[in-house]
Parts: sequence; C-alpha cells; structure tokens
Amino acid sequence: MAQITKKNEKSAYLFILPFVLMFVIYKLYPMIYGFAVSFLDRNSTKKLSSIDFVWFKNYINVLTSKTFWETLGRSFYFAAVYTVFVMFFGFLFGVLFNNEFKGRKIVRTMFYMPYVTNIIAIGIVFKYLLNPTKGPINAIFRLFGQVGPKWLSSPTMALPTAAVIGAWLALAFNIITVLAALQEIPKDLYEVAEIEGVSFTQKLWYIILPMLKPALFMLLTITVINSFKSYTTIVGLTAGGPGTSTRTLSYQIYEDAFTYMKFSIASAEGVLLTILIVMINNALNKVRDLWGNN
Amino acid sequence: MKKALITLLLLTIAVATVFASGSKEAKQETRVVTTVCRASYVNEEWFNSMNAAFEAETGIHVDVQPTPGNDADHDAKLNIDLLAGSTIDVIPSLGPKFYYNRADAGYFVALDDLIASKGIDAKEVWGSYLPYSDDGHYYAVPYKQEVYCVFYNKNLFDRAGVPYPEGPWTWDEYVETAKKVTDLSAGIYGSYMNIENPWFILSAKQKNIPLYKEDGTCNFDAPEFRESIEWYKSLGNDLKIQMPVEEVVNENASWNYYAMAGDHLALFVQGNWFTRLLNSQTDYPKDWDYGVAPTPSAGEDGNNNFVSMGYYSINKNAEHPEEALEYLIWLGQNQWKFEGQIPALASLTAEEQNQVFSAIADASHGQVTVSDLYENFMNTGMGVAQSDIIGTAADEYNRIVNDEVAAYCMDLQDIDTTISKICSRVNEAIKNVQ
Amino acid sequence: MGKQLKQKEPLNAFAIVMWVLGVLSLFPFIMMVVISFRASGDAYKPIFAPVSMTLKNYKTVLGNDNFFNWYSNTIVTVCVTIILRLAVTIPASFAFSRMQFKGRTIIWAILIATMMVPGETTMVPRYLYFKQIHLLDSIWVIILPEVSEVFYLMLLTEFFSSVPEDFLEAARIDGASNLRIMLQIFIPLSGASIATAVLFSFINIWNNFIDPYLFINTISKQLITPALKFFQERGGANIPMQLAGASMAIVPVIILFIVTQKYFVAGVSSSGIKG
Repeated sequence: MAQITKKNEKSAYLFILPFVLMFVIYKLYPMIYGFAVSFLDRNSTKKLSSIDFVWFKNYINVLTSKTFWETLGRSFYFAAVYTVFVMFFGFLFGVLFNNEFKGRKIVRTMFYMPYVTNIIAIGIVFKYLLNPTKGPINAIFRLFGQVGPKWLSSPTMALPTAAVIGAWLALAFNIITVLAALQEIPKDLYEVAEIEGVSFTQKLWYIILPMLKPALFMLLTITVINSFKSYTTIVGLTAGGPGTSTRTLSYQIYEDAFTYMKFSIASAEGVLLTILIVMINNALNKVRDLWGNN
Repeated sequence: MKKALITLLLLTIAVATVFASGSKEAKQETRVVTTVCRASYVNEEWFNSMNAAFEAETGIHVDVQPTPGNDADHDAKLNIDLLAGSTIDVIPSLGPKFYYNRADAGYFVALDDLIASKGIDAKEVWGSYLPYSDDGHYYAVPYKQEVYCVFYNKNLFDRAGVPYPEGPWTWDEYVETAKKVTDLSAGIYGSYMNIENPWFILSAKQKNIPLYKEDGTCNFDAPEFRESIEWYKSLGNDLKIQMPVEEVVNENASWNYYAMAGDHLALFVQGNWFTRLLNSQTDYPKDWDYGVAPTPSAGEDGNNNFVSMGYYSINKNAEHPEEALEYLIWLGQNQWKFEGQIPALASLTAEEQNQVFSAIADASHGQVTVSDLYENFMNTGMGVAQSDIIGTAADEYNRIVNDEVAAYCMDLQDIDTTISKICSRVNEAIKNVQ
Repeated sequence: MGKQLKQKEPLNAFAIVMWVLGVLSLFPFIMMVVISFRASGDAYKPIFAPVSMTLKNYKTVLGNDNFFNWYSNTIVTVCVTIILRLAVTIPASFAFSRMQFKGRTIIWAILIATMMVPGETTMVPRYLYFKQIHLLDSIWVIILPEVSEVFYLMLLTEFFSSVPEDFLEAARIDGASNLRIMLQIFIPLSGASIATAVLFSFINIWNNFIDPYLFINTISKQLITPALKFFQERGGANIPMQLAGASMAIVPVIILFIVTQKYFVAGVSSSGIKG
C-alpha cells in the first residue's frame, strides 16, 4: 500500500505542477512584486527601475493624505450601496422565482442577461438613458411635471447611481445561488408549514432564512469583496467625475499609477486595499461563526 | 457535444490565426514610418491627404495608430504606451505641458545633430520656437503654434442686432457684448468657455501671475487667481451669459461640442486650431457663419494672449529612425498647410504669411478673410502668456485645479475652501515628487 | 390529501409583474439596439418617435479597418485561454479533490486566499513585470495570466469532489494509473462542469476591459471591449454610433449565453457556494 501512496504523491505533484507553475509565474510573483514595489521609491518615470528602499514612506504618505481617506470613504459608500442592493434583490428575486408562473424560464433569462455583458458597453447605454436634460428617463419625470435628478452628473448622486448599476450587473449570480439553495429545502418542511397554517413571513423567518444561511453568508462574502473592486464600473460610467465625487480607491490607484506615474504610491494603496478586504472577510467569517452556533 | 465544441474551437483558432497573420505580410516591401494620433483625426480629410502627400513625395508609407477614447484619454494612453516601451516612431505632443513631461521622462531622441546631419539649419527654420530643455538640447520640432482668440456666431449677432465684436477689447466689454446677445428664452447663450485650465484662470494667466512661489510651493492663494475663478463662475451662475458648469458637464461632450452645437452659443474663447472644425462642412456641418475677434485683454498688465505649440518628437525606441527623421522634418515644415494652422517657422515670406491665412480663409468659404485672421490672430499687439501649467507636479496641479474649481462652480464648496484645498493638495503633490 | 404536485403554471398578477420587471431588465439592451439605428442628431428623440432608421452607424463600425482584427483577436484569445486553462486546471482539480499529497491543505489555502487580492492591487506590478519580460502588446499578456485563475480551480475541484468514490475504487483496484482514471472516467463525467467553466471563461475574458486596455498598445492587436472606446471619437456626441459599437461587442456573448444558459445556471449552483 505504501508504494502506491508514494507513487500517488509524486503523480499528484505532477498533476498540480502546471497550474502551480503558471500561477507562481504570472499571478503570485506580481503580487509579491507589488508588495515590494510599495517599499521602493518608484514615483516618477525617471525612477522606474529604482531599487531605493524607502520602507514605509509611501504608506505614511498615503495614510496621511486627506485624499486617501476621502477615496476610501467613497469606496465604502459604493460598497455599502452595492452590497445592500445585490443581497436584497438577489434574495428577493431568488424567492420570487421559486414560484411557478407562466414563462418563468424566459423571465429568468431576462434577469440573468446583464451578468454576461460588460460595464463599458452597458455604460454607454446608461449614460444615454440617464442624461439629465435629454435622456428618456428624465423625460418620464417631465411628463409628470417634475425635474428628474441628475443621476450620473450629480456630484451627490453619481456614486450611488454607479453602485446600483454595477449591482444590477452582478445580480444574476446571487439570484441563481439563492434559487438553487431554495430548491434544496426539503419539501416536507413546506408541507409541515402548510399543515400548521403558517403565514408567509413566518415561513420566511423560520424555514427559508435558516436553511439559506450558509449560502447567504458565502454570497455576502463574495459580494462584499467584489464591491470594493469598483474600477471598471467607474471608468465605464463616470471616469471619476463629476469633480472627484466618484473617485473611489480603486480608481485612485489607477490614476496614481498611470496618470501621475506614481507606481510605488499606487502599489501601497493596492496593498492597503487588499488588507482592507482581508479584514472585512475575517470579520464576516467571525460573524458567521457566531451566528452559525445559534 | 464536447468533442464538437473542441473541434469548433480549434478550427476557429486556426482560421483566425491565418487571418491575423495575413495582414502583416503586405507591408514588408515599402518603407514605413509609424505615428500615433487622436482617434478623431483618422476620419478627417486633411490628415489623410497630408500623409498621402508625404508618401507621394518620399515613398514612405505612414502607418497611423489612433488611440482609443477622447483627447484626455489619448494623452493618458500615449503616456502609458511610451512607458511600456512603445516602438512608435514619431510622437506628437500637443501643448508644452505634455511635451516637457515626456521629454523629461527621457522618451525622446535629441535632435540637434540629427537635423544638422540632414543639412538643415534648425535655427534658421524654426528659430526660437525650438523647445530647448535644461540640458541645452531640443527633443522636438514644432509643427504649429496656436493662439487663442474669440470666435463668434455671426447669425446670432445678426439676430440680436448687435454689431460684430472687434478688438482690441477687454473682458468687461466681452461680457457686455455677450449680455446683449444672450437670449435665454430661445436657449441662446452669449458665451462659452471650456471647463478647465486656462479658462478658469484667464485673467490671472494673462497677467502672468506665477503658479509657483519662489520657494517652489503653490502660489494659488494669490488674489488674482481667486478673482479669475469668481469671475468665471459668475458668467454662468450670476450673469447668465454662459451655460452653468453643471449643465455643460451633463452634456458629457468634449472640445468639439460647439462645432456640433454652436448654433446656440454666440462667443467662444478657443484656440485658432478650431478653425479647422469650423471650416469643415463635411465633418461638422453647420448652418451659421463664424467670425473671429482677438482675445480680450485683462487690463493693461494683462494684455497678453495665450500661445501654445504642437510638437513632434522621435521615440528613443523608434523602429524606423531614418524614416522617422524624414517624416518629422517634413511635418515641421508642412503640416500647417494641410491642417490650416499657423506654422512655427522662424521666418515666413510675405507669400507664406498670406498662404497661412488664405488657406484658412478660403476653407471658410467667405466666413472670414485673410485680413480678419491676420489682424485677430497675429497682429493683436498683445504679448505672450503661457496657457499650460508647467513645473513640478504639473499634471497633478492641473488636475487638482480643474477638479476643485469645477466643484466650486457647481456650488459644492465656497471659494475659500476651494483655494485652500487647491493649495494644500498641490503642495502635497509637490512634496511627494521630491 | 395529495395536492397536485405540478400545477399548471398560472398566469396571474404575479406573473404579469414579473414579466414587466423582466422587460425592464432588458430595457437598456432594447434601447441600445433601437437607438443604434438612428442618426446622431436623432439620438434623444422619444423612443416611439417616427425616426428614420439608418445602417450608417453599423457600416462605420464594421467598416473600421481594425474591426475584424479586434474580433478575431478576442476570439483567438478566448479560445486559446480556454484550452490552456482546461489543460492546466483539470489535472490540478483532480489532484486536489481526489489525491493525497503533502502540503495539499496549505497550497490550497494559499491559492484560495489570493482570490481576495483585487486586480487593482496587482495592476501596477503586473504592468511593470510584463514590461520587463517583454510580454506587453500581444494577446499572450492576457492569455498566460488567465490560465491559472483560481476561481476555475475551485469550481472544478468542487465538482470533482462530488463524484462518488466507487467510480475510482473500481478503476484503482484494476490498477489503472491516475492519469488514466482522470482521462477516461472523470473528464467524460464532468462534461457539464467543464462546459460551465468554458462558458464563464468566455464571458469573463471577452468582457475584460482594463487588462487589454493597459497592456496592449498596438491598435491592430487590441481586443474588442477596450476597442469600444475608439467609437468615442466625435467628441463623445455620436451616441448611436457608440451604441452600435457596443452592441457588436456584446452580441456574441449574449447569444452564447442564451444558447448555453443551463450550464450557466448549473455552474453557479454547483459551485459549492450553497454550503
């Protein structure tokens, strides 16, 4: 038996070798490299290959700059709106789609469609639709004699609007997961509830939510992590504007790197963003463990 | 099903690879030079006939790489590409701020000896327009100079019964004129200005107020800047001769906005290069005539007009340096004829001077005459002001001013906050660059 | 007591509401297609206004010198990535799910942990690094890093874990090597999850904007999604043309999705998320 195990082990390593090799070369190394760059002094095109270690100078620069905290705040705002929207509507529509109705499959496809498109293409459409003076959405407002809000051109509304659009694109994943999880709930539970004459809200609270807890927590983790990756959404919709109102940390990293050529600062910001995501993930896990033991 | 899928994939790859490699083979024989341009140029007639003329004259084919997006995207992407070691031969830099940034970053080849080796005396041809860097060399050849001026919509003036504006005039007079033509009920605005530098700080820049203090920190707290910004905002929000910034932002368009929608804007302050669009009925059809007037002055100590330059440089990593040199020299002397712009040549014969402006005048089909252009572009009696922000952390400085002043104009913050934010952010940026 | 288990699907108020919401969800797509057939000046006229349709925008988009290049580059990139990805991920998934080896837990944990590192963080180092190894400005700069994307490892490993051990037992007793087991038993069994991986790969690579935009410079080597930005030429004011470009960019993915949606749903459901 021992012989087989050893042979097993060697071939196991061979099996994972290509993947791990590619991973180390093209994914892991850049991460480590990025971490290292954040300690260097590469903040201009002249210093592109500098190997001057300045240790935590970049981090201090970033953490003491007011703009960083502003962009961080915006990232949180975006993340909050995005997460609430995705979790709530994902759950809602998952539950709704669990009921039979005519053409259910077709309507489901309609809901899933945004997921397969990209924000750049869809961004053009939304910029058109939400044009405050000429777009069709505000035309509807005008029909009722109201002035529509300025959506993506309003310094106060641009960020939440972008977050909602980004969330709309990501909805399908949550809907499908919730649906699948719902369908795993044993039918007997429902039957028992029917017999007992339980109301819908009670069904929700005592059957559905507890059974879906693991799925919902996983979704929450994934959604929160994604909610901080707002770069492409901002590029597709507002390019950081109007003014600086949609400049989230993701976007700022890109700006610092490729507009101002401050690569080490951008790397430091990137590392901070990762730390943030890890911290949030850990917090969520703790919450899940706490609740799970109820 | 799976097998079919895999076979289909493999077939597609095979076919696509054949097509992808096919297009490369055609260009092996002829001499080629590569250059990069804004996405909008590709469709403009002058640009294509210019490159065709070059090819006819020298036999070198010009391979043009447009950059995606609008103008801001163009410069950003070009910078990224240069950083990545792009091998494009000839690089345009429109405006000193882009040029000096790139030259300082070491992307370009020093041209002094190269041009001399072609038997050309650069000083004779381009004179003081050559952009010398601190090391005593120049890394680009200027192909045009741009002066700012005021364009006006003759139809709107006729409609309001107001005589056409004439220089020399001041900003107060500009505002008065704009007021007379503004008719908000018909959606007509008297004035339009871009929402960025230098329009935000026109009078301050005309007075040549420095942007940096002696010690290198931000000088934006000088009172002249504050005055200019407040004045700019009042045009839209108080005097209402201009579309408020918020509305323009909504339009989400860029510089050629009013070439397309100028039928409700009476006066616009812009660079003379704009004549290229105003003259092009095919690309930018319009049903109104334009006229030109000089840039208003900001009083006695602000009687300066903005001048900017366009440059061409050779990339250090150029794939075809020989051809690049030829193209560069040719462009520096000839592009103005095709683009209809003012060349940056040291001396123009009277004939050439005439040619400069008659090209534009002719293309306008009578909307402006040669003397109109000469008087209002060149013979204004005004001095020179720098339109771009140049210096330490210039890019960020520019961006910060644009951001904060736009926010101010949209009533998100008051003037004091704006000035102090600009100063603190710019100083931070300056410090970080050290 | 037996309730009818399969009721005839009711067409009630609920259904109608859902249909309306569904159509609303499609609304942006519908607008995109409708407006793309208008001339630039008519872009903002009301949706039902009698405006003449024109094919000019599509002609411009399709007639762009590089349009075909963009499409073929993207298709090649997607196909090559998918093939390489499957070739590399399937053995790895098999090993992680079915084989014992020292360090399995640690390596797995590291791989999963890296999923928390967002693309923004690695944007700069990837740029500098790929520049150093001269990988920039070719489709390989997209393909090679994507090959070892951990998400798909996770997906396939989850699925492989759910295959009953009996299948393996029989083969092992017969003395079959792991390679044979994988090739002759597992792969045929996992048609569905592989199809899912293929579908998701297609969608994600096709829609990837920032990587090709940053890393690819030459216009003829660009992929279709970043290339959309080329249609912003005319001062951003020609909306219908931009929309025509956008539709050309997303139509293939939508068609693929509609045709293969059951794999899409299956993939999400079986990804082990449900716990």
